[in-house]
Amino acid sequence: MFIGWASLTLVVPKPRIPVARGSVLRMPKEVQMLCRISVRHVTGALILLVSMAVFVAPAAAATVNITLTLTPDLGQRAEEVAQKQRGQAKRYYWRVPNGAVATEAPRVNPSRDLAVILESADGGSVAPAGATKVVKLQGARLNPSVIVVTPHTNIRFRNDDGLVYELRCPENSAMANGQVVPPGREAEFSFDQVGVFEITDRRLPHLIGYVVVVGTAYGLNPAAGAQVGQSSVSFTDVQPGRYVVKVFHGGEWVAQQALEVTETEEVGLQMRVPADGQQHEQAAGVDAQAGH
Amino acid sequence: MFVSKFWFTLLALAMGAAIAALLLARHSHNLALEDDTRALLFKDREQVWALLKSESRVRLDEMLRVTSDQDVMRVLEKATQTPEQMTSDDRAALEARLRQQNENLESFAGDLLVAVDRNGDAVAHVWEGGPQKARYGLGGFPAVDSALRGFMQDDVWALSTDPGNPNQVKVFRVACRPVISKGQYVGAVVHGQYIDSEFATLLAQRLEAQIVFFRGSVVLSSAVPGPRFEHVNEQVVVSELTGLLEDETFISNGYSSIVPLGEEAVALYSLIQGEAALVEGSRVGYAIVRPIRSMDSSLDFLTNATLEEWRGMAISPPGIALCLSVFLALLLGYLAFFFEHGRPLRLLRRELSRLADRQIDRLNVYGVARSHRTVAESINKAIDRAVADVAEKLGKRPADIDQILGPRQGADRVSSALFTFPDAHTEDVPPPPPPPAPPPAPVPERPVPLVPGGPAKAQPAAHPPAGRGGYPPVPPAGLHVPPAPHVPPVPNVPQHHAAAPQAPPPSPMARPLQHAPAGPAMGRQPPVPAPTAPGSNPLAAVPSSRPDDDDDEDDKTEIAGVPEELLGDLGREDVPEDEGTYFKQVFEKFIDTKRQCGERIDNLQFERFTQTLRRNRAALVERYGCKNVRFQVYVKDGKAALKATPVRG
Repeated sequence: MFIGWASLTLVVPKPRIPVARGSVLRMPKEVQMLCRISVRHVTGALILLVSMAVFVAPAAAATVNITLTLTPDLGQRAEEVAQKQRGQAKRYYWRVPNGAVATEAPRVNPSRDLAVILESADGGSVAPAGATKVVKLQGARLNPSVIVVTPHTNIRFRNDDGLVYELRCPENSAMANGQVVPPGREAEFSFDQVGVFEITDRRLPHLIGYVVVVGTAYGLNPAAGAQVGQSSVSFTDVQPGRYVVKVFHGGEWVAQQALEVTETEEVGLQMRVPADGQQHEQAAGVDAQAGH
Repeated sequence: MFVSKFWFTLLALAMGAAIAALLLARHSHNLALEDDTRALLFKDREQVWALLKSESRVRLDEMLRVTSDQDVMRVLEKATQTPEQMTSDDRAALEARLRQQNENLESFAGDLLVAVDRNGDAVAHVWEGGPQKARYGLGGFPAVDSALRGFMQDDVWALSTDPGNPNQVKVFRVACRPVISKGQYVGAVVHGQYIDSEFATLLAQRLEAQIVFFRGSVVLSSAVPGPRFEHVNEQVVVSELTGLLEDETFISNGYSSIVPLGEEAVALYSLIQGEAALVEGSRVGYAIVRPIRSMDSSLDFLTNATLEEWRGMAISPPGIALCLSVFLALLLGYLAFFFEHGRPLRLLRRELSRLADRQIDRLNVYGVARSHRTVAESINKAIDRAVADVAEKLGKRPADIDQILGPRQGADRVSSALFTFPDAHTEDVPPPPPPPAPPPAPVPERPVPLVPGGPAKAQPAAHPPAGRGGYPPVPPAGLHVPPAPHVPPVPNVPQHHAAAPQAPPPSPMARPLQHAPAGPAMGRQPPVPAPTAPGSNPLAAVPSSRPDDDDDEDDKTEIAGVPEELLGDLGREDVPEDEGTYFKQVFEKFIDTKRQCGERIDNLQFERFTQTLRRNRAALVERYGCKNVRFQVYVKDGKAALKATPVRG
C-alpha cells in the first residue's frame, strides 16, 4: 500500500488543456479545471486502484469452531485449585453429605472459568490495545474468572454484588495494595505487560481470577454447551496459517492442540479438557510471553 | 548442755530448713502453677475447638427445619428452574417464611438467613444490615458451593456490606445446608450468627477463662466468666498480635505458643477455623487468657488454707506424724532443758540461798552442776578475797590451824576439826561424833585406826581437787567457823583406843563397822569443829575414799572425829618416801580388803587409784599444811574403804 501511495504521487502530472493554434478558446474556469484531467490522469488512478487491490485486500479468512469436552477431572482439578488456595489446614468443622441425595462433583462454569486462545505458531507482531473489557464481581467471585486481553488493555472490575470487594494483584502496581470496590462501584486497571496476572481479594480469600495478557493470540471465554460437560468457542476471521489452541483454567494451560487454518470457511476442532496424558503447562508469569 | 545445744542446733536447722522449704516451695509452687496454667491453656483451646465444632453441628442440624420447609423448597425450586417466572411476591413470601423459621430456631436464630438458588444467587434473606442490593450472590463461598452440591458445611465469614462504610466488617459463624426438592438440589440456605459478646460469654463461662475474639488487631468481642475474674485489658491482649499475625508458624499451625501478658497472665492465640482466618492482615481468631495466680508470700501456704484443710491435714497420717514429731521434739527439748539448765540452775540457786542464809560460808562447787562450778568457784574466790581483804584491814593474820584448833599437845598434832571436805550435802565442819557406847572392840590393826563413831557415820563427801573449793584452811574472822578450842571432847571413847593402832585387831575388816555407831552425818552437822579434845579418845575423823567407785565417788572423803593423841601418833608415823611403793602397798591392801569383802576388783585400776590418792593428798596438804598424808584401808558397811590421815612434819 505504501508503494501504491508513492506511485500515486509520482504519476500525477500537471493538467494541461490543448488549445488550437492562433486561436484562444475561452472556457469557464470549472470547465477549464475539468479539462485539465487528462487520460494520463485516469490511467494513473487506475494503476493506483489496481495496486491497492493487490496489496491491501485481505486474504480469504476462516472461522475456527472449537468444541471442548469438559471431563470430570476438570472439576476435580478445580477442587484441588481451591484447596491449594485455602492451604492444607481445614477451614471448617463439618463438611458432610446431606444423606438424602447424592452429592455432586465439583462443577466448572466454562464461560466463567475457562479461556481459549488461538495463538499463531509462527509468531507475529504485538496486537494493539483492545477495547476495555469488563469483569463482574458477582457472587463473591469474578465473572469471568479468566480473561484474555492484549497488552495495554484496560479491565474494568464492576461490583454487581452486595458485598464489598478488595481486589489485589501484586504484579500490577495499581492493584498491589488492594483496591476496595464497594457494591455498585467499579475500578479500572490497565494491564500493559504480557503474562498471567493473578487477581485475589483480601476480604474474600477464596476468590481468585486471572488476567491473561497475550499479544499474538486471540482469546475468548467459551460458552456453555448444549449438553452438560460440553463447551464451545468460535474464532472468526482467522487467516490461514498454523496455530496452537490452548485452554486456560485455574492458572494453568490445561490443554493445547495444534491447528492449521486454510482458506476454507470453517475449521472445527474437538478438545478434551484437561487433555489426556498432557502435562499441564504452568502459566508463565508476567515476564514471559504467554503461550511460549 | 550438749543435748540442749544439739537440740538447739537441730531446732535451728529445722527452722532454717522449714523457712528455706517455704521459700523454695513458693518458687516451685509458682513455677508449677505457671506450667499448669500454660498446659491448661492448650486444654482450653481444645475445649474451644470442641465447643465450636459441636455448636456448628447443632446449627447445621437446626437448619433442617428451614431447608425442609415446603415454602422454601417451592420458591427455590421455581427460582432455579424457571427464574424468569420469579416475581417479587415469591421473594416476599420466601422472606416471610425465612423470618418465621428463623424465629422458630430460638437461641439458634441467625443474624443472617439467606436462601440462594442453584447458582448461588440470593433469592430472599433475613439479614439486618445486609446487602442493600436486591440480587446478590454467595455462590463463590466454598461453603455455599459445597451446599449447592449436597454437602452440609460450616464456615466463618468476615463480610462487609455497607457501601458507605466498607471497613465495617462483621464476622459470622456460618452453616450452609442444601435445599432438596423432588430429589434435586434447588438451592441452599445460609445461616449465620455473629461472634458477639453473648457467644464469647458462653465460651468464657464454659472455660472459666477470659476469651477475646479478634479480627486483626480489632477486638470483636470479649468476655470473662465472672465479675471477679482477674481479666486482662482486651487491648493489651490484641496488642500482642502485631507480629503474630504475620508469623508463618502461627498461620500454618493455627495457634501460637504461650504468650505472657506481663507477669500476671498468659494467653494462647488461635485462629478461627474458617475462611475468615485466611484474610491477610485481618485474620479472625481468639485468645484465651488466664491469670497466673502466683503466690506472693510463702505465708500464703498457711493463710490460704481453709479450716477444713487444716482439719484434714491434722487427721491424715502425715499430719498425725507431724504432730507427734513436734510433740516429741518439744518433750525432748523440755527434758534437755530441765536436766541441763533448769536442774543445775536450781542447784546453784539453792546453794546461793544457803550461802545467803549463812548456812554455809562458801559454795560447794561439787554441789552444783558442772556447768556452774566455774561460777561457784568464782564466787568462792570472791569470798576469799573479800575475807582476806577484811582481815588485812583489821590487821589480822589469817588464822592457821593452830589458832583454830587451839594449843596442840604435840608438835605435829593434827586436828580433825578442820579436816573435812565439802560434799554434796554440807560444807560445814563436822561435829564430833556422838558419844556412842559401843562395846569395847579390838582396836584395828595399825595403820587402820579404830574409829568408833566417825568413819562409819561419815557421809560420803566429794573430795575436791586440791586448792579448789571446800573450806579454806583457816576461816577468817567473821565467818561462821568456830574456833578450835571449843571443840568438845569425844565422850565414852575408851582410852585404850588410843593405843589401838598398835594392837593388831583380830578382824580389821569388820571391827571398824562395829565400832562405828551411826552418827550424824557430817553434812548435816552444824559448822562446829571436830569434837576432839586433849585427853579424849583419840578417834579422829579422817578422810575416807572409795577408789573403787566412779570418779565422783573417788573424791569422797569421810570425816569423823579422831582423838588427837591418836592422830598425833598416827601423824608422826612416817610415810614411805617412795610414793609409788606406798601407793602400791595401799592399793594391794585395798584389793585384798575388797576381795575379802566379796567386792568386785576387776574394775580397779592402779593408775586411777593413785590419781585419787594423789588428789586427796594434795587437797589435805594444801588445806592443813601437813607434810604428808597417810592412807588407811578399812571396812565400812561391809565394803572396803580408805581413810586419809594428815601427817604433820
